[in-house]
Amino acid sequence: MKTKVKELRTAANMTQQQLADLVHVSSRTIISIEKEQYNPSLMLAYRMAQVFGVSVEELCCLQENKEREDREYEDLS
Amino acid sequence: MKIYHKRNFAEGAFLLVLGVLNLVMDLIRQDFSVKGAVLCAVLFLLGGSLLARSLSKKVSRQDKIEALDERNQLIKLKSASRALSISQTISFVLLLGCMFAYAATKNTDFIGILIGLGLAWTISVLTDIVASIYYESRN
Repeated sequence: MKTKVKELRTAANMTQQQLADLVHVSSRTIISIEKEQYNPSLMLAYRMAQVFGVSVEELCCLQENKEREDREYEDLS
Repeated sequence: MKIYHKRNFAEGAFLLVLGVLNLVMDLIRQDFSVKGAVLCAVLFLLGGSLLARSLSKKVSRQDKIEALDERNQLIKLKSASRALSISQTISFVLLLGCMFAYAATKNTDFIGILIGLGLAWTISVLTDIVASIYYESRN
């Protein structure tokens, strides 16, 4: 799942470790989220959104991801 | 001296005790080998490092964060599930192989292997079913 974590983190001049410490996860989790290899849980997404002062929808690009999933679903039929 | 991570402390102490016991047994039997020395060294190193980690506040905090990390927990769940599936498949294939081998050779040694493999496979399947029922009812 695409997210804006990397974009928002670099704009805030924050390292991956600093962000990980703020949201109580390991830096490896932040790396995986930024590489779109791991989808954060709702609580983790909420914590990150609060750190950056944005909504969860904006952080996780929910509209964009939903549209992509809808297209993939349509391709199945 | 404060213990910040009880589990690490317990595991470290256990490994150190194992290392000491191993060394004592080797000394009593006067049986010194490279394998024994390597085993002792590994046990002391692992036990000692776990113990040291449990006594450090900063490192213990890191270890606790790693243990509670949601991605690490997911990986642990996925790998345990995959390991169980693979073990069940391998056990079943070996079970079938032993059955055919016994049928072909009438060698009674295969019966012991069959019983062991059969038990292992049955236990893994039953525990899988019970665990599924349990979590199905709880979630």
